[in-house]
Amino acid sequence: MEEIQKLPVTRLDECRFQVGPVPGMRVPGIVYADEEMMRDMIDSMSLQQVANVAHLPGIVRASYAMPDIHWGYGFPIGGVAAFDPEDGVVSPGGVGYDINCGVRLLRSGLSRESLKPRMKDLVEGLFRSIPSGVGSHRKDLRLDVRELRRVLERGAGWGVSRGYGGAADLDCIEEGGCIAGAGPDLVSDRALERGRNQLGTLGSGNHFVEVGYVAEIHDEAAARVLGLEKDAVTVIIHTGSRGLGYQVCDDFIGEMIRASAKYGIHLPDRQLCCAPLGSEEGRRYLGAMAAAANFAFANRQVVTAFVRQTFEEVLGMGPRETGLSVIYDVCHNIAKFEEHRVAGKIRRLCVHRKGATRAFPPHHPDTPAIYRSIGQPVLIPGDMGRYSYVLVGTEKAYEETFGSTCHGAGRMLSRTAARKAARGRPLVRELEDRGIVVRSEGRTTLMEEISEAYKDVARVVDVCHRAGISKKVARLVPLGVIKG
Amino acid sequence: MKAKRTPPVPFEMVDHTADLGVVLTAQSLSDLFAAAGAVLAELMYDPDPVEERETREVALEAASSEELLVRWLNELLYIREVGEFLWKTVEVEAGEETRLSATLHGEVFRPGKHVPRGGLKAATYHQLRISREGDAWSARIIFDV
Repeated sequence: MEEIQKLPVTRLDECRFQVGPVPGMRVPGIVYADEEMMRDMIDSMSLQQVANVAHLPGIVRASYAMPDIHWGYGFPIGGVAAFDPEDGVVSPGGVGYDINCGVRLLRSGLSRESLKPRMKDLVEGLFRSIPSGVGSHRKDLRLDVRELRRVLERGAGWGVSRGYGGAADLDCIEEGGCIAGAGPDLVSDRALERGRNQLGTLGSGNHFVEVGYVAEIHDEAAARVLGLEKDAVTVIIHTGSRGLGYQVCDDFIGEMIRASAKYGIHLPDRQLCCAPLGSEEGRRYLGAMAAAANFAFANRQVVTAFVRQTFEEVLGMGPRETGLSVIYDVCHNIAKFEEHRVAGKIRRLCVHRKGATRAFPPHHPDTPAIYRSIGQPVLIPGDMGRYSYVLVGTEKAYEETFGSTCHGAGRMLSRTAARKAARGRPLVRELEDRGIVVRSEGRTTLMEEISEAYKDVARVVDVCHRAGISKKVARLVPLGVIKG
Repeated sequence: MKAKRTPPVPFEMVDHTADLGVVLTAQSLSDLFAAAGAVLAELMYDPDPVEERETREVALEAASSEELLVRWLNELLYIREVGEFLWKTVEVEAGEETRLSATLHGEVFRPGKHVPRGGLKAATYHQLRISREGDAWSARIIFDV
């Protein structure tokens, strides 16, 4: 077992704690948490991982962790770290296997009451049209390699060009649904093979499509701009780059272990393997990662089209009546170049967010024009039995956390413990009693994903809201969920 | 020397919050790789209904035994995902610490007959360890779920 060091932790203010520095850390760790959260994580592997990230060359200002931090591999989940292009590094472990795992939120013109009698049919329809589970694929969407390369170059734009959604969707996606600099040629044949028939699929684990409604509005003005009204039906899509992304990560971790040795980079954990941003290995990874991220954007675009189609078919309505439009789409696992202010100077940095969400402020050029008065929408899914949140980015996030905030509830129970807690329980009926229709590929996922396995996302979001790194707009409650 | 394993294979779960870790023991390095393959099968699907109708061959090399273990498990994940192949018996010959050849005995996934369990994204290098005391080998692997 790796050693867990005793790390000095100092409280900075109500919602921030400083970790270290201890010898080897180039910068301190800064963790956003309340007192109880910090008590639970003292002497934990996740705090150690915050400290480990701070060892990496060229890290700027601090190794950050959001309040949903938990033990990852290499970087903690909930970690944010920015690196200088001259002497900094890029690390596949700082992005994760599921490159651009992310969340998309749709609004609709439907009310919760009108949908209630059709919920079972709707969930069944979604389950049939959006394949879920390990290696899931749609038989009618298998791309040849040429077409797949176009997906990797163009991201969500590829989907729109092939009739999966409209051009307006692209205005409301982080980076417009396409990360620049993608190198499809840097993606291995094996990764391409894994991705060929996985567009428009959910996969397994914590991925889902959730139909819900706006249960509470915290900020009326911002909710109006986002088109969110109380009791209106919403849809959350949570998936990523599927097998293609996992393969890209795995291919490059092997390469980066060798690169770390080549460039003499000391690693406290092999999974932190990395290469200088300016190196051939670093550039190759960034190109392949962008390609995989674009695959994920295209995946959520295609799933959106399947959601729209299912609503229309099940409800016997046209697109105008269902009114399903994209509010926003965010990445949770990504590394990209952004401009940030450090010690009064604007610097171009490579920001890694692993289980964290970009939260850019009002008037930032990367915040879509329609949201420029309120800030970039931030989508925080909770567990399948409780609620999710819509927030907006803030100036404070831009100043303090390289424009980043939390990404979800964060697990509390291990999968084994969750399965134990769920054994013998009628999980589907329990959720039905709470007004939630659920359909999943296997019972195991359902057991591992029970509400109790997660922290209460409201607490996580409250810390971010109180810390000022994002601002609560609305709370969404699930009505129907399909799981992998 | 060749080793052969068919589930069930005893293993311990590592209590990892978000992901899934296992610790397993074996009598040789070949046996360790065979056992890891059999445990992976058990994590991903119920091996009982899998019949041994076909085989798949695997040959791998890596810089160290630990890297070889990660590559081996990720190769198996690839075979499961792309070819939808489910294995029951795993035969491995790890000639040196950095090279192996293996044969998987099983069949292609058929809905209704086979029961998937959880999905795994990849075997990671995080806290990866292979250790040996005399003839007793053990390994710890953490998977991204």
